[in-house]
Amino acid sequence: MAALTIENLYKSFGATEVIRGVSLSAQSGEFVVFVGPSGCGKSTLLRLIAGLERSASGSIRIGERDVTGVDPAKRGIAMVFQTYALYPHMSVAENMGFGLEMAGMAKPEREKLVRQAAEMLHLTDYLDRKPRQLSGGQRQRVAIGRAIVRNPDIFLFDEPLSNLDAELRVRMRLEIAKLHRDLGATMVYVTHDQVEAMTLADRIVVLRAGLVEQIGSPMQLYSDPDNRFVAGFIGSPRMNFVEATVTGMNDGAMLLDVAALGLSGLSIRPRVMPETLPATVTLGVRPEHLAEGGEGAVAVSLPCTAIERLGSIAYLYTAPGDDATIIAQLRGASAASPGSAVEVRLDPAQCFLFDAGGNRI
Amino acid sequence: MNRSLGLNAALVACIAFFVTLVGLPFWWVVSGSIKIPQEIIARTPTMFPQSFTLQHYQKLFDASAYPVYLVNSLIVAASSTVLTLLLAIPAAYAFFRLVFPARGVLYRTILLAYAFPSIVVLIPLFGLFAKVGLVDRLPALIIVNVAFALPFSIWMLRSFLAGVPKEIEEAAVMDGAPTLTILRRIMIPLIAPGIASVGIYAFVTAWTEYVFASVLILSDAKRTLPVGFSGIIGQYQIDWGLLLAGATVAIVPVVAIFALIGRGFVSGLTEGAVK
Repeated sequence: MAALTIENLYKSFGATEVIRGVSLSAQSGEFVVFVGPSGCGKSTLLRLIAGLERSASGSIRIGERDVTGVDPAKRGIAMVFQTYALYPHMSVAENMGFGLEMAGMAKPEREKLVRQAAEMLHLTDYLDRKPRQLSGGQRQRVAIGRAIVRNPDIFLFDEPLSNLDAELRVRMRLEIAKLHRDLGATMVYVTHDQVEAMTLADRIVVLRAGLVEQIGSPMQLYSDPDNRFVAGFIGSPRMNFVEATVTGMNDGAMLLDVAALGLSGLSIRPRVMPETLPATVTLGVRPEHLAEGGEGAVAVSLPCTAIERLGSIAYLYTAPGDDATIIAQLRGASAASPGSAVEVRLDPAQCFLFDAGGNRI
Repeated sequence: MNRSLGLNAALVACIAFFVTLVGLPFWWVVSGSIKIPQEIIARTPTMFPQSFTLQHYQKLFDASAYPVYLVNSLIVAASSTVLTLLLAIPAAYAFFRLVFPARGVLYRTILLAYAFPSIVVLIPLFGLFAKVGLVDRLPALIIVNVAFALPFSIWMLRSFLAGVPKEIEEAAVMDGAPTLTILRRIMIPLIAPGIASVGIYAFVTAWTEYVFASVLILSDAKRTLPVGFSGIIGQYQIDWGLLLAGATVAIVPVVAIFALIGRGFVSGLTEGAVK
């Protein structure tokens, strides 16, 4: 295992700049997840680390080695592809041993390593099978096994679970987490699924349009987002954003009128009080902090237009399908029904303020 | 999918019609080759042989130069096929994978070879071959056949290569395989159906080639089947039995090669590779 350091990396495809000056690092043994909407450059960034794409400028270091111009196979990395990319005409054992064979390893040693990895991944019974005779989950394990046997410094995962069904995805997620604990290896993982990011990562890198929006631990991103994009991207269901008028300040807090919630004089403490008070701000609050029977100090009455019951909890929507809808969390057994008004509690300590540019205030 | 009975019946009738259309001449040739001469030229033709004889085959192999032509044809067709594949596979992979100046232009240019009918290049080619001493030698035919089969073969193999998911190749790159190893160990097995198709195409074109074989080959001992066989027929007026027996034997290698490498046509070879 080794640390990964990326400095000021740029990449364009034709006239389109896909990666626009990314710098980040992963410590040795760390599990780093790149997350972002499609087209944000997260997969390209991973392919740059893998060496499958060449950067326009910037540097990539693995451990102490600068690998920016080094061949993929000589970087000490292994990659698990979204589509598994197994060799269909080779058996599971051959698939896993191909990289070792290319590295010139003798057959007995190769077989030993393949067997060890197969045991770790519960693939021992399938070593002679072809990929087409395996289930999706097994194929994904073979792809992971192919990476493990090479004992790389860094593992790269490119949306490895997106082809699996929901149940299998949860299982494989836990398996990958366990694998990380067992191997203690540095892992870089790309996903668009923020749940995967939250559950797997030591640190999350949120990307948008080829730029890093924020880097931090899952809970850091959740409880202290730098901007509106990160606040909206992390957390499910997404954070509510409503416009608010600033009416004044009091003891380090801003006083807000929030028409959408029917509130006036709401007192919210900003991260840093700006020198001049803006006229308006965007108030962000997560559904779980706008909850029925919650501990928040402020009562808010919301019209219920639609309700989604998940069993233990339910979600209320004021305008389903509309970007301006407000989502609140209700009790599982809530008596609310579409057409009624529901009183929820807002927790001002869990509210975030953003300026017109989307930056956190 | 549910289809109505009427539509099914229509489909079956349609298929039966075309199978008959294609199959009937073959049946007539094969069944005619074992009829006695009187039955072949009988005023009322028989669809099913009323007699049985191997006399035409005996005459074909014992009393004519047919076996010589057959061997010549096999040498030319087999060599052309092997050579075509040996050249077309790396060429197609180069066009597919390597980035070099004027790749696109060159790729389109190779198909220009088909813009000229073979008869147009026949005379200059004869002059050329005469200069290098290739006239009346089988390699001349092999060279010509390969030259004409190559552009299409490269073109076809390249599209088969393009059908292999990019990630498989990338996985091999990550595994440290050099380009030629990727071609040999990963790509060739995956495009086996394409290689089989191209092989059959090259074989059949070489097997049936007439124009060049009739001009570039002068001595009887070097003739290939299409040319040599047409000579046998003219020699003794038209011996229908001999003609049909010769035609039947000429079909055998083509059928054999279809049976042999046609197995490569299996689809779904990349199944399980991705997704």
